[in-house]
Amino acid sequence: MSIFSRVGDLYLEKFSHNNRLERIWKLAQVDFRKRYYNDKFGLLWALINPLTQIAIYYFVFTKIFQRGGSIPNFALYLFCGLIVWIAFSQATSTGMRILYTKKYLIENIQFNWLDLYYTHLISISIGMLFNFFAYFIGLLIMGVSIGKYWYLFPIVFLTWYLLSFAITIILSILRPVFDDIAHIWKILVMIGFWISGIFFPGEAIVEMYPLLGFANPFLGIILNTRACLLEQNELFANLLAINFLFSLVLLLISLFAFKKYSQSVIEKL
Amino acid sequence: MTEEFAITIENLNKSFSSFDINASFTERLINFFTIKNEKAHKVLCDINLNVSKGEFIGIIGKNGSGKSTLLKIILGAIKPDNGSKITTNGKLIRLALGIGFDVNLTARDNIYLNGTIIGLTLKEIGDKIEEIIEFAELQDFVDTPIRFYSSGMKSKLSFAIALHADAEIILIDEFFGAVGDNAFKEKSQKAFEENILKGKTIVHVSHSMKTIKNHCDKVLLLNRGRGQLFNDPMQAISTYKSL
Repeated sequence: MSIFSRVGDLYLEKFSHNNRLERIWKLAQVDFRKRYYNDKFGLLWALINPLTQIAIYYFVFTKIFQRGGSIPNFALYLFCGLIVWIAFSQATSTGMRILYTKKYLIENIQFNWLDLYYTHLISISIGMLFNFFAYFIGLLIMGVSIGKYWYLFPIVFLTWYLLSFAITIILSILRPVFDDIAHIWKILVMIGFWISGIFFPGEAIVEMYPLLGFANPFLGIILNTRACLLEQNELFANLLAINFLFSLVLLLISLFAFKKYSQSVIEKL
Repeated sequence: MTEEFAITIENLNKSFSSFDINASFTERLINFFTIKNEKAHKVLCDINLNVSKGEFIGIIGKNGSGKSTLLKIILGAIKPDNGSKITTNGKLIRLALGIGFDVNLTARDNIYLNGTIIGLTLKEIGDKIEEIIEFAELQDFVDTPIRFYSSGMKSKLSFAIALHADAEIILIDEFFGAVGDNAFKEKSQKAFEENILKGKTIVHVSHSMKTIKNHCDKVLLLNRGRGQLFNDPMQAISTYKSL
């Protein structure tokens, strides 16, 4: 068992004494382990993978395409946006099957079914944490300073979390009833990737298409992630506030839908 | 003195509806919100049942008679039709061997994972882990991933964990009882009676007439979704056999 898991276990064993919390943690731990590693060097692999990605982006975009001229530290710029985008894409794409994969729990124990989503997002967030750790190593190696609003990143993360939570709930309710939703979502994720300013400055989209800038919550999340963790610019406060509100409203809608439809959906699994 | 009930079921009906798989995306979208144009078939019809605290109720019936559906409804996993009333008084668990076992984890890790699923805290699991390992007779393999275990070893481990389920009402679907070799069967039967049966309310779906005869206080016989309650298990068994 890794040191990371052990620390979590020891903390809960000593201070929590709450079966619900501990079950969420254990299930998240096993999900993370299944997704990222399964052997003794697993934790190392979880770090080597993102570090290799940074090295590749650095080499390809800075040395081969010489893209670094227009955007400083392009490898880190790209990786920073990719971390939050990939985590979102994983959370929603794998999360839409959560009622299938955790059916054995629903049919055997009494618990709050929303715990399944907490578990899923904790496991995705642990993976994201490893990627950010690799990102900070990248910052150190390349001698780049972290953004001056780094301490505001938890608000950006919270917006990411609410949005991912809400969309995962909605997709998981739709998935057992409409098989096609998996394909539709794949296409939407692909479109989202190109309109969220991952490969190019999102500011351009906000300037050219202000409505799209405000309608696509991920654009603001990525712009603000970079503002917090890479750039020395001001935060996009308006976008952040709108994104946060949008995510919150979507979450309320998804919770309402979950309450109303979850039992009917589970019958169809 | 009024009798304290663990489970009360009044006028329980359950119909399942099925989607037309050839329907278009739009049609299915409309059906999803209106729940119209679906083919419905009734699986449980006007079931009434009171289970007192500490009682052992057996549920028997042919395949497809609605036994497992009834357990899922009692647990709250699926919703009964409107007008049905179900009240449970106490924490419930549907006991199955090895819920959520992960074959890539060691026995120790699986004990912690499975233990939290059946309602134990990490501290409680820590206090009981040696007892569980000893009961499962796996002292030499506790840090081995269970994918290397034989099916007998896995059954022993899952049984040893399940004995500690933290619930007042236990729902048991089909087989749950003695596992492993003869010596272990004897030991597990004894532990089952001491740990699971003592002081708990049990609802047991079974095809084993021996279990029904030996343990049940009352038996609910399900036939094509309709229920008939017997206070004498032997009478229930003979009616079942005559169906």
